[in-house]
Amino acid sequence: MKAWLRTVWESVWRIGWPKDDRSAVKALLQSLVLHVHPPKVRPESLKFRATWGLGVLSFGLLALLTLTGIYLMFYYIPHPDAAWRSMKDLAFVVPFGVVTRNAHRWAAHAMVALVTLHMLRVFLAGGYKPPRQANWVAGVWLWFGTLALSFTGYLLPWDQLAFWAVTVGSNMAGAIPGIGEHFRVLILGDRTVGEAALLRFYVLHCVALPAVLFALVGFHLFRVRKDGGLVVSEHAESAVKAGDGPRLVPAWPHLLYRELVLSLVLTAVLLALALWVDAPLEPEADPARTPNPAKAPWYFLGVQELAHYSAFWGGVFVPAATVAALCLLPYVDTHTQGVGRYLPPERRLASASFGALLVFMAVFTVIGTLFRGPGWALMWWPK
Amino acid sequence: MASDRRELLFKLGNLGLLALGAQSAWASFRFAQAPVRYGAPTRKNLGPAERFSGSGRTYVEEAGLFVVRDPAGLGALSAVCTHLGCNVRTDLGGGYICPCHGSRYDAQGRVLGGPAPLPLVWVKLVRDAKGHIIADLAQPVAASVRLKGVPT
Amino acid sequence: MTPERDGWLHAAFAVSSLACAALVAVAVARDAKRPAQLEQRLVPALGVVDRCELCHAEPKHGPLAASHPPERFGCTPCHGGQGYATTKEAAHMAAMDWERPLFSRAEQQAACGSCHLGQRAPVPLAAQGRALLADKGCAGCHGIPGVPRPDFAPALDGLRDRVSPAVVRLWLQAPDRVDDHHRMPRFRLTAQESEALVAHLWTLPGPPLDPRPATLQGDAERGKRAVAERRCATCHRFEGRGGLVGPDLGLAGVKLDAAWLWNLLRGVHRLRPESRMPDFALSDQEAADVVAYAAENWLPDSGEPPWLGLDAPVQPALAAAGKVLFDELGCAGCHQVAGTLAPPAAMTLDRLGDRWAAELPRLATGTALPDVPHWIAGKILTPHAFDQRDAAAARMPTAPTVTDDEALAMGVALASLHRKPVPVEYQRQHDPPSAPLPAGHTGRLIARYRCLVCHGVGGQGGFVARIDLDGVGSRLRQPWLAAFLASPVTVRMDQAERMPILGLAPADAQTLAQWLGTALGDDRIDAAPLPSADTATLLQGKQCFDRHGCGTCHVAQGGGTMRGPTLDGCGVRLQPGYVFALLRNPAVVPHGRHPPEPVPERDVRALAAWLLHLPATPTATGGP
Repeated sequence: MKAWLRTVWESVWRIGWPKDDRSAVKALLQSLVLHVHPPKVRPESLKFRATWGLGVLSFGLLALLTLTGIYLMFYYIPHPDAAWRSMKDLAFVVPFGVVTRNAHRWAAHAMVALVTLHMLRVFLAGGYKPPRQANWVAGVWLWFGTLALSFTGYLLPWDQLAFWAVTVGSNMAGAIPGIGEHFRVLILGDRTVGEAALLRFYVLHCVALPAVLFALVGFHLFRVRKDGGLVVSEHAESAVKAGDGPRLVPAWPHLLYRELVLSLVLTAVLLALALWVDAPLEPEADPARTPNPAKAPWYFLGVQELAHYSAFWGGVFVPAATVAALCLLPYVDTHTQGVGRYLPPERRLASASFGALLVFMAVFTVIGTLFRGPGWALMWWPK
Repeated sequence: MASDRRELLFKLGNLGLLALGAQSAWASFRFAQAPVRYGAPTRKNLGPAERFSGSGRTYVEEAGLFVVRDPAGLGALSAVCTHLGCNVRTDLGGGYICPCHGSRYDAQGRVLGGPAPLPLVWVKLVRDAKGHIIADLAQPVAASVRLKGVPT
Repeated sequence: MTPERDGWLHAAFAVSSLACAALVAVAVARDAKRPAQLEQRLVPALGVVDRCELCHAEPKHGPLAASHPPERFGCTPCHGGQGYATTKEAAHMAAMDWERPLFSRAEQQAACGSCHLGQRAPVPLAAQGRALLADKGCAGCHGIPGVPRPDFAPALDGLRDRVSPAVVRLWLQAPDRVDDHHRMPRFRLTAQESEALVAHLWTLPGPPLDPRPATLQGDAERGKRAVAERRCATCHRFEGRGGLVGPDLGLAGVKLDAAWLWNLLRGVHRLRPESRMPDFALSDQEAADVVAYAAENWLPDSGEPPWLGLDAPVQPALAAAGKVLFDELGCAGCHQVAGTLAPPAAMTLDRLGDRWAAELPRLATGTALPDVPHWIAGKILTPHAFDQRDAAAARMPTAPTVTDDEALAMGVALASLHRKPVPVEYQRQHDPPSAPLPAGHTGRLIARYRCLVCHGVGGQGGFVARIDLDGVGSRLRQPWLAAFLASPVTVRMDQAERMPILGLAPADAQTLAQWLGTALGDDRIDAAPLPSADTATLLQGKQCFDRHGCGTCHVAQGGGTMRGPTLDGCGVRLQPGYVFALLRNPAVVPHGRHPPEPVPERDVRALAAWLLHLPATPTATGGP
């Protein structure tokens, strides 16, 4: 009997628990999921300061969002008559409904923040330089996809916050010259936010965008491995080539263990947040009652603040130019001096200009979030 | 010594994972059982008693049942076939026949043939303050139970 | 395999994995406290999902429970609160996403009023409020569903022919010094603004005035008699008393232009088509007499008019600014200009019931008002006391003489209005449907003599007479009605208001009597022939009259008191069927002042016969 069970187990997991480095490498290569990792990694890449764990945390959040999202889908009805009621049922009737919704909401906010920080980290280390250009562009689109997922999810509770944030956000898209209005009608399915928009956002949020994102994530991870793992300094690179640097270590268990621990820490933090901080829910969406001020989600408030000055220049040109610049960056800034280190003297200009862009957006986001009151008037004491 | 401590910590961690998995499974089970129900109520208003003043059987579509009048009074027979849940129809002989798999029942709902395992269900009828007939689909009664005193 | 050597990594693994397990345990423990069963009441038509019965298993049902079963109404439509909630706190209190805690008493009445419609709804505050909204002319500026546009403000065409600018200036600044029962709200105008308004009003032309023949001399003595005969005091106040339907005439001798007044009295509807005054169509001479009487008697006590010193010339240059102000204030919402009312200038008040107290502006002092009806009441009483940047909203005038309770009633009435009204099957209209009025010649007569200003018909009109015309055709005989219309006599000595002598031609009186007799019947009254009058019956009737104490209120054959109508000769006035009906069922008497109890059936015939055969005596037919 025992032998028979072992046969069954081994038909699934062909290699037993690795006993030595050699079998660990083999185990990794044999596994569909695990072989996105290289079998061996540089010890310095395992240091926390090499990545701050941002990539793994972003991926972990994506996994948690998918999981909680699937749970929420069992009780969510994407129709204006029932969507908000679904929120109430999650709050009052569904066991673990509140925790699930809270976790989903906070994970979504965290993912926008962590993906942005991940991009910053990669930029500072010069991770977009040859041969990693395409993966950087994939990363830019992943960042964009994260924002799109978060934005489409924002509408689903169908409360005042959701309704008006999406109304404002979609009207910003309407400011694109020429095609803006068509584009707006295309995403809303109507001229205003309503039944059609809710259904479109639901399908985008639960099916279309996740599918795109998962595909891109697969490409992204695959390319990390194919492009030679994390970017390292020229010094370390040549040392490895010369064979006198530190020896490579197997990814099993050193990398996997770290990833597991990091994911558990993330889960614990998210659970704690979800248990004790409730996700906001405002009164049911009412197209006849505009809150004053009507604000987009916080990560778009920088753009909304800019749009306050000019709908086209602030609301369309600056974001579009930013995304375009990010995509073109690796093909313009191609020299490879100073990569693999943070803020190297060779890359002062690049670091400074990216830093300036980030500070610029952060300042406007903070103004838009905290210092804008009714009528989009400046107010000096955030409420 | 250090290796023993590492071993212990690793075991503790695994224990935590086990507990996390078990509790999550329980939570998922509970999550799936939420009583979020907005379906039609089981009590159906069949309208004023006069609607059933004629003799014989009246099919009440919105409630999915036959109201049967006989000398003893009014009874309500669920039209849901006990085989796989299609709605049965009356046949020419005073019984019922299921259009899906041919189960046949007599006037009392007893199985005459076909795959049906159980007789059709009789449900409780009451009269409200306005004289309307109310059927409670959740309350089965014996085949002989009739609501009495309804004017013909 | 090279073992992982970092001790902290193992520690982090153990701690984080145990922490995750512990946190999920917290969630599981919270879930265990959830009630095992969910009691919920669904009323899809009202969007009700009420879980109140989770705790209130046996709701304390008041007297309204029988007519408002929870299966049909749920709990929250009447009581407020959050029906979805399954915790006490969330169900009863306001929360970030639930702005409607349990209703206050005022909000409860507003909730009743969203189904129970009309001024006769059995919801005291809402019903009173609806009547007040109409009475105060709120619908002049605001569109309010179910509240008619005001019809009591004078048209402003030709105002310059009517009064001096000084009167208008004083009116705009301190209207109660011109008419202490005025109904125009106070707009808090500056002197500059009222001057601009006067300039604009002086640009509005009126109908041309007929020249008064120079030879025509008015006689004040005859004028006095005409004023008494036409019973002007029924509607107007002068010499310290009178009715409130028309303007105060106490100062008319100095206020009104004599030529204009003479024109007005000869045909009121030519100069003032919107006026509620019947067309008395006085002759040139009669009109001149009344003008002469007014000039001698309707003067201020001190001899000086209160607008003394305000008679500066009108500044036509300000007219353009005045026009802007006139439109901005929405003056033409109440006052007709060129025969029409302007559309309401201020916001439509059809959804105040959807507002939440928390989102409404606070008082400038920072105080928040407790609920929507109280907020509206505060706004009505002191519109300018709110901290608001909206200049148009701060323009709202103060209504004259509104008490706190009246303001709250109006607040309740307005808070009963929602953008999405309750489903039709839940609405209950308590006002009778308005009866169609006849067209053609009869309709023109009714309009000309403004019958419905004093008398109500089918719930319309009726500002003076206590007796509506509904059912009059079953009560009174047509020949008597025709005679009464042509030359009214006093039937009820206890009423101050008297039917004016309208000067109807006999044929017109006949037409109106026919309309009253055939169109306005009462289903509770059957026609009956005049009972025969043999001596025995009459004797028995007389005994019944004495035995039932009819003389406590009525005069008959020289005895009794005049609390009720005089009964001598009532057979000329009353239909036999009506007398039978009222003896059997006093409730058919229209104004609520009916005999205290029915007469026993055995006495009805004799008493009716005796009453209907009472001879008329001179006292029953003379005027006052």
